[in-house]
Amino acid sequence: MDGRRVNSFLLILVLVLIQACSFWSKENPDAEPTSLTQSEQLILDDYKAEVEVGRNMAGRLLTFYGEYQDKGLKNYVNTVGSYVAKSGDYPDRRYMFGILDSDSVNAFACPGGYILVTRGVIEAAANEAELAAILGHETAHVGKKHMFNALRSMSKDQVERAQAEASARKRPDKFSRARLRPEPDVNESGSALAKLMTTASGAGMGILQAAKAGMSLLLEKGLDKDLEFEADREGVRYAIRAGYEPRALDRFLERLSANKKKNNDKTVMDVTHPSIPDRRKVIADALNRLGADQIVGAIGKERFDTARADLVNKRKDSK
Amino acid sequence: MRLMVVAFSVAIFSVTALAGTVESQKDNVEVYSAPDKASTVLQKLKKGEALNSGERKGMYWQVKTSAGKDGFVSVLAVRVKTDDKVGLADAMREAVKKGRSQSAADGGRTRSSVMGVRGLDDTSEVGVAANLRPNLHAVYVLEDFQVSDDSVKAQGDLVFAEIESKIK
Repeated sequence: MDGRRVNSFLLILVLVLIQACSFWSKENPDAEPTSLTQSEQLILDDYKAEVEVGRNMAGRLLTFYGEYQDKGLKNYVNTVGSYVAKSGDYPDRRYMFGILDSDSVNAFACPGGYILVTRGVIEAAANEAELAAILGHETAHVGKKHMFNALRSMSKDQVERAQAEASARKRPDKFSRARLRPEPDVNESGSALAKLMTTASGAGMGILQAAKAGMSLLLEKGLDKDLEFEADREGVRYAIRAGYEPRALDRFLERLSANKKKNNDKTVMDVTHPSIPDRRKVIADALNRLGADQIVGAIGKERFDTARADLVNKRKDSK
Repeated sequence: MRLMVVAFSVAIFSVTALAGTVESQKDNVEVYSAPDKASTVLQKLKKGEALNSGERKGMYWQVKTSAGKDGFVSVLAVRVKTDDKVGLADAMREAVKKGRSQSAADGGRTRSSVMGVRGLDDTSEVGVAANLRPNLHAVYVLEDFQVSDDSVKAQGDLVFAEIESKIK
């Protein structure tokens, strides 16, 4: 092969390679959008680890409680929740709302934006403003990454202990054995994500470890009470920014407290949250600072009653 | 020295407090010097004009005028602007979808929904939830269920229509 032929061959080879690279970059579904700033890219990297942990936690809650099937109500909760979240301090984050099929009054915020409210919450709320404030509380947990940061601040020992405690609770007497399956080993790409989950002790935490430790916080130990107070203050603030009646969360808690006294019941929320009187004091301070007395807010009673009509009717029929 | 500290604190507060954006809903929206319609008008906004905003003060938003002055605008005349970081939100949405194969490997196969357990004393029983296989199928359904931006905007319109009817 003479020199000119070699040069032509190399030129064609280079052009083919350039074309192939350009084709790959256009078609590769895993390619990241290039318009993000450096700081946005860092947020996105962190978010991927959050999603892995949150998805696992939300999946476990959905297995335990089951999802309440009412597409109209789910759409309504997602609309109100997304609206309040857009009025909060983290409108650019992703929020996904679901309804758990449980009488218990509780709501859970998992990392990555998975927010699950129980059917009991929707039954206990009196109007849209109360639902909005509850969802505001949960979106504040997500936006401020309370759970994710709590997990990352745990020492290696704390994570292992929480995981071991969770693993020890097998109750096949009340749960089908089919639902208690062995956990798979974390694979290689999981290990890569786990590097993002560096704990206070500097050790990388696996997604499964983080999810189990997160469940322990969510259902038994609770977050630091200051984080709950912060979520109350912020939730009220987001709901006010969205235009809702400022005292909605306070009224919801007041009614919840009265019902608890009457029925003498204890729920997960009692174990994982500060006492209702303490929460109401924090909310009262926040309302004072925000000039709540001068605010005229929406209640959304009619919208709320229409959205939950099927749920209320089903409950009446079952009694 | 004390004055300097106060001035510095105020400056920090102004920067951190003005974190959002509000957008005028009509022409000639007045920006006041205080949360009071009787106060001086600092600026008049055209429809669609946006200003950096801080906290709610009663029925007003605290804003920064185009000239950099602190002002107040009626909450009924503006709406919170939310589409500033569309690129990041889209990237997050994509990240959620792309991570699914990873989650299936780490947490469980995609399965049909499993019915929940009701009527339990959840303070004593719920601990076992941490040890159940995640129902990833139900999570993916949540992820795919998305209300449109128009629906969210319409929700805001309903909320503020209710407030306006109350004030009238």
